[in-house]
Amino acid sequence: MTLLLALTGSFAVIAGVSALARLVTYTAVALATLRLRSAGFPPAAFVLPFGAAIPVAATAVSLSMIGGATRDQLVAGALALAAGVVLFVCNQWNRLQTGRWAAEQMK
Amino acid sequence: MGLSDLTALGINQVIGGGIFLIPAPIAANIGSWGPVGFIVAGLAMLLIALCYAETGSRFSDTGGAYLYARAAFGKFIGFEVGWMQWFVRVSSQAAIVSGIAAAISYYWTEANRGWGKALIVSSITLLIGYLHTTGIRQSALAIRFFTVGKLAPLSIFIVAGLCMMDSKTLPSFPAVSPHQAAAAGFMLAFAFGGFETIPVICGEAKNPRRDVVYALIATLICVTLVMSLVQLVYVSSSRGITESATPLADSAGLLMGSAGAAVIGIGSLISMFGANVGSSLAASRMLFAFAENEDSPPAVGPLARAIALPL
Repeated sequence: MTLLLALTGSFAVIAGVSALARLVTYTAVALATLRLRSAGFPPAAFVLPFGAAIPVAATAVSLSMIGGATRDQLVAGALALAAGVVLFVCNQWNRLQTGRWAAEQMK
Repeated sequence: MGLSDLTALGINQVIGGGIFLIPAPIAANIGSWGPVGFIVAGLAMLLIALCYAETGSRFSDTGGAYLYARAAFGKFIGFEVGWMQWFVRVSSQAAIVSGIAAAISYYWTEANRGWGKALIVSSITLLIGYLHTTGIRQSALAIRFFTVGKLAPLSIFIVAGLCMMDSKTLPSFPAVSPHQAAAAGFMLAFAFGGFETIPVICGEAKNPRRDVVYALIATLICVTLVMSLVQLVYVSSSRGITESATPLADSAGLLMGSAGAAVIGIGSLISMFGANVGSSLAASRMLFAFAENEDSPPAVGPLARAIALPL
């Protein structure tokens, strides 16, 4: 996989795609920080001061950095996310089938 | 692991190969504002790092953003984030490998195009894959070697550049369009990537609550300082040249002659190779984490476990 990307792209292009994927995970973590503060989730060893201010600012920062991506980079990022959807669906389907097969054997 | 170990690890993660390559595209977009851009981006990254610190303190397993998103938003979002995380590892590794080819092209121009590039890129990737199959670990000695190998040439570059700099060599601050500023901000996200490793391993820290937060802050201060000084020396010495596959080596050549270019060139090779070995280990951990949570095809788990290859 590394080889394929390194062979086909220049540093600037691959670094751009990498930055985009990074910012998607940063946004997710900033939003998760808010969500996980509600009851029923594992407790934190410490909670940041100033309430929601830091996670909200972090979300804004990552989203505005994503805004700096070129159209091509955004398209590449969207394709990567779409590939993720396909993988997820295939995997769930696969597990469902395996589960059914196992259930048949049990009978 | 204490505070200083965690900070050293963080600095090692962030200052990998990117800093040897990124100054040119940054300068192309925002010129002399580059050093300021690094400081602003450093502060922005600190906000994100603090979120990692709080959320990381809720979990003891490895997996980072994937685990957090999975707990917060369910299996599907979790998988997408994990997939992006794996993609980050693989793509930054690929960016750095192509950076290694670019660094070699300072001496052998064929290295950055056509078959020359194919040869170098393939052999480095396969060599690293082979090293992993022999079961290497990141020994303390190797980490020290890579740390000195990259920080020493960067320090020489900064000191030499600052000594030779005067107000005449620093180009005036250009007018920057919002579009250029945004493009630079986007590239800076690549330059700062890696700090998120610290909270991921916070389970191994002696005093997670205090140490992880301080280590993140200390890491970001150190890397911001180093990278913005490097950028400052680059914009003051490169005389407006922004098109370069080997920006720092070119700049060092202008400052210190061919010996300087060689020091930076070798330093960049050591740094990029080290970063690549480290991040390919982390990428294979990612597939591990997928398999542990039954989010990968059944075959990947045993495969990843058996050969621990950086797929």
